[in-house]
Formats: sequence, C-alpha cells, structure tokens
Amino acid sequence: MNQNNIKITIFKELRGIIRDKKSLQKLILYPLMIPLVILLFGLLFDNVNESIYNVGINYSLTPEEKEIIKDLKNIKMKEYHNQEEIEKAYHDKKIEGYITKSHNKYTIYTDLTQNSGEIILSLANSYLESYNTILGSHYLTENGIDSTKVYQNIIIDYESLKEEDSNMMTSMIFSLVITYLIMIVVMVCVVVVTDSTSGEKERGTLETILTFPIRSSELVFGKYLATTILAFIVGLISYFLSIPTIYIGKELFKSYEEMVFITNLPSIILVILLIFLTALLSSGICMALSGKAKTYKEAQSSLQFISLLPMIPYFLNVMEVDNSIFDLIPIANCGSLLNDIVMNNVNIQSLLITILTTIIYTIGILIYISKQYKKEETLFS
Amino acid sequence: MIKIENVSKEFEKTSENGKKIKFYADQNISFQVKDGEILGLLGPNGAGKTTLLRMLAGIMKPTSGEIFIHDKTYEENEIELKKNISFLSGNTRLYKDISCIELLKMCAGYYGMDKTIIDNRINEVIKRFDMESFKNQRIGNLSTGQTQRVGVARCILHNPHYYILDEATSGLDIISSQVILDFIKEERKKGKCIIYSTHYMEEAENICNRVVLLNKGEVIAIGTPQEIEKKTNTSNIRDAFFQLIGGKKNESE
Repeated sequence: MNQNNIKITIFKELRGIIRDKKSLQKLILYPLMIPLVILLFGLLFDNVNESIYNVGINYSLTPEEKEIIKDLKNIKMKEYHNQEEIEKAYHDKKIEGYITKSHNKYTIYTDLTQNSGEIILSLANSYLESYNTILGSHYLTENGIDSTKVYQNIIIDYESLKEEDSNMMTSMIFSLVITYLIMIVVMVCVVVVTDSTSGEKERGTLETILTFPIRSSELVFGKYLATTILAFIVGLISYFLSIPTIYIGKELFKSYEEMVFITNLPSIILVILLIFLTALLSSGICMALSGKAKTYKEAQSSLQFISLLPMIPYFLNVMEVDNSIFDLIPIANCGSLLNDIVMNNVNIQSLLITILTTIIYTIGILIYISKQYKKEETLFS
Repeated sequence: MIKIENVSKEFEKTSENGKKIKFYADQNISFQVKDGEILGLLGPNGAGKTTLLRMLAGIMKPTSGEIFIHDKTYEENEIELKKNISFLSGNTRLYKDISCIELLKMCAGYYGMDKTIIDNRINEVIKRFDMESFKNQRIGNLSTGQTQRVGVARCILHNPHYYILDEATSGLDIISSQVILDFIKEERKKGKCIIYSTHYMEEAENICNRVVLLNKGEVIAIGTPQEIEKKTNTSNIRDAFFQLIGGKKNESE
C-alpha cells in the first residue's frame, strides 16, 4: 500500500468533515452534551431531594404526631376543616395529596402515577406506623406492661456488603453519561462514514478519486483511518470534559457527593484504550454497512441502530441482568467495561475478553471491507 | 495508443416482477486510437459511452475482452497506467469545500508528482486556464464554467499522454466550451491520444479525426466523419447516425 495515498486520503477526509458546517456542529455538540446532562440532572436531583410535599389533613395533629412529622422533614401538613375544602385544595394544586381520618381509620389519597405520589405514600405510611407504635406503647405503659417487650424484641441493623455510593438515580445518570461516551464515538463514526462513502458516491466525487492512481484498498483504508482518528479525538475530548464536570458536579450537588468516578492513571489509560478500540471497530462496522447503501439517506438510516448498541448494557443493568453476557457483543462490551472501570469494579476476565474480541472483530471487518470496496456494485451503486 | 479488443460489459438489473436480468451495456467493442488523434465517441443516452469510458479509465473492469493502453493492460500495472491517463466526465465532480489550489495540490499528491515541481506546475495550469482570480476560492462558490476549468486543470496537471473526456463541454456557455475545445486541440498537436465523448454531433465533427458511433452498446460505424457521411449518403454526422439506426430520428433524440 502506498502510504502517501493513504495520508492524502486521511487529510482530505478530515478537512472535508471539518469544513462541512453540519458535520462540524455535530462533532462539537456531542461532547458538550456531557456537562449539560451531568449538571442538569445534578440540579434536578438536588431539587427532588430537597422537595417539601404538602399534604392536607381533615383533623388536628396531636403533639406526638407533630414530633413524628418534624422528624420526617420532607412532608408538611396543612389542616382543613372538611372533605370539600381539602379536595378543592388538591384540585387547586395547593397540596400534592391528603389524609382523611374517620374514627381510627386513616385514608391516604395520592396520585400514584406520579413520583411525588409514591413519595407521599411512603412518608405518610411511615408517619402513621410510627404513630400507631406510639399509641400502642402508651396503652401498654398505662396497663403496666413494658412496651419494649412488645415492640423491641429484636433489634434490626444493617451493614452494606459493598461500599455505599449514593442513591440509584444518580448512579443511573453516571452510568448513562459513561454509556453516552461510547455512543459519541459511534455517532461520530456514523457522521463521518456516511459522508465519506455514500456522500461521496452521491456527490460524484468518488468517481473522480477512482480515476487517480490509487488502489481501492488505499482509499478505503484512508477513509477508515480518518473516521477512526476523528471518533477517537472526539471520544477523548468527551472523556476529558466529563472528568472536571463530574468533579464540579460533586462539589455543587449533594446528590453526587458520594458518587464513585475513578480517575487514577490506570483507569485513564484503560478508558483511552477502550475509546480507541471502540473507534476502530465502529468505523469498520459503519463502513461495511454504508457500502451496502445506495444513497446518503439509506446509509444514515442503516447506521442509526449502531449508535444504540452501547445502550444495551445500560438498559440491562437497570434491569439488574448479569453483565458478563455483554462481553461478546461488539461495542456494547466496551460500554459495559467502561462503566466497570470508572465505577472501580473491573473484572479482569471481562477486560481481556472485551479487548480480544474487539481486536478480532476489527480485523474481520477490515478484511471484509477491503474486499467489499473492490466490487463495482459497492462503488457505483 | 489505446487498443480495445472485443470489450463487453455485462450488468444485472432487477425487472418489474423482481427478477434479476442480465444485460450488456457494451458488446464486442473494438477500435484503436492513435497518438495525436482525437477519437469522438458518439451515441444517444444508454448507448454505453460512459461505461466504455469508465473501463478505459480503469475504474470498471470489462466482463470480457481486453483494453491495451501503451500495449499494457490494467491487470498488468493499474497504478502506472493511471498516472498517464486523465479522465474527465460529467459524473466526476469536484470537492466543493476546498479551494482550487487545495484541489490541485491534492491531485498532484495522488499522482505522486515531485514536490519540487508541484507549485510551478500548479501556477502554470492556473495561468493556462485563467484561474488566477478565483484560485483561492472554494469550488462550491464558483460558476459552472469556472468549475469546469478547474476540472480540466486538474486533468492536465500531471501532463498525461491519454485523455478520456466524457461530455466535457456539457452545460457550459460558448466561451467556457471554447476554452476546453482549444485545450483539446492543443493537446492533440502535442501528440496526445484523446477519446472525446459528446452529445453534440457538430462539435465532434469539427474537432475529431475519427468518430465511433455507438447504439445500444454496439459499434454501428467507425471512420472519419467524411467517410461515414459518404457511406450513409448524408451531409452531416447527425443525419448519418439516424440513417444507421434506421431513420428513427425522434425516438433517439
């Protein structure tokens, strides 16, 4: 292979993408989404955690009830005189739910389709169970029975087997950000490859290039390397943009305070290696699929689903499915492993399988595209 | 010299009922083009001109037959042959996001030109095609005529011996067309071997030494315009063509 031809092709492709306003906008916007998502969700979760829920009641609180509610912090009771008044307040959105009392029966009304409704139900349940215990204790004490023998026969405590990091929602956001890192690499490949293959065919410039003294393998390899380089650079920018943003997020938002995001030297090296491997494989897959497309639009739509591959481990993780099953799925395994690396949860076996399979897949796909782009139906379809 | 021997090109297309049908874009085509000669390739749309030119330029392979350029085939040494050929077609577009200078430098790189002579050669072709005023402009911002001049400039940059020109003046105004026709004549004087495909029969008659008339993938006549006119008892190549295809003037037009 003539290295000069490959070099010229790489330079031509990089220049073409950078000068194309739409493509450039995408390459800039993709990484910028990371700080935006982290900061926005930090703000959102802090607001949710600090939210006070107003709950209407049609009775007066006893001093004991007031003490319990004071301890619950997130709930504020508003007293109303009758059912009508309380229902009107709910419809006017002055309260998010209400509790009615008839003799010794308490009924909790709340909208369980909303997140706030579930929180109110949990808080109200907690308040009423505590109050029930207090009433029971009073009765037993009045009758000369030690209430601790009834309510404290056993003592419940817990120890987490894993280091506690934070709540589930913030973990999911961090995981989503890491998944998005891999998605960015794939999305850059989609943008660059559609333009450099189907785009070139459609614009008629591919035929111009083919008249030059260049082998189709040099042309394909040049395009492939240009895509890999761009995807790798944008992936790196995204990663190095996410590190300070996460640390700023940890400083700014309580929800992120205890989140784990490892940034020591070995983890940084591993993340860079994974971004590179993802770029190598994704550009190959994109080129193979794009070669089959007849138009730019056809290529775009056939490549869209690849961008979703990294999302598979994310969704299955949410469903708590064992993540060792991703080790053989191309691109998805890189996303899964990247998550494990930054969460300090690396499994050496997964690491080796992911690296090895990605290299094997990449070699296979390179052999395939070098043959595919020699065919006239690929070049002139 | 370019020698084409029994060249055929078969394609496959899907019919209306979904079946794949094989058909010949070109069938058993044979002719020669000598150095210092302009050979006109004439025929209506679908006659097989573009496919034939693509095979001549080495970007498509014949299904059967042989193409010899300088007594060598593409199988023998594709890269070396391509270094000596220039292909300009209505289908070969230029990159719109780069300037004329950048395009010419890129082409010089692909042709493996010596770095020490690239700048001088680029300046020469810029002067030759009067591109000084727009040499730094992006190609996408140029007029059709200016773009075509850049296209021709990139074709002659590496000083090839063989020119394969497909509809080189198509869509151009009279002045831009003349620039290109003058250039073709000049190259012939230098002993270059030129294949020139066009829709404009009168244009071909004026500049071509010989013409090949193609219809439905087959050669229907070869000779000087005068020979063909004499053979068909007509006064111009247009009428000769219609005479040869059976007088169906409106159908072919």
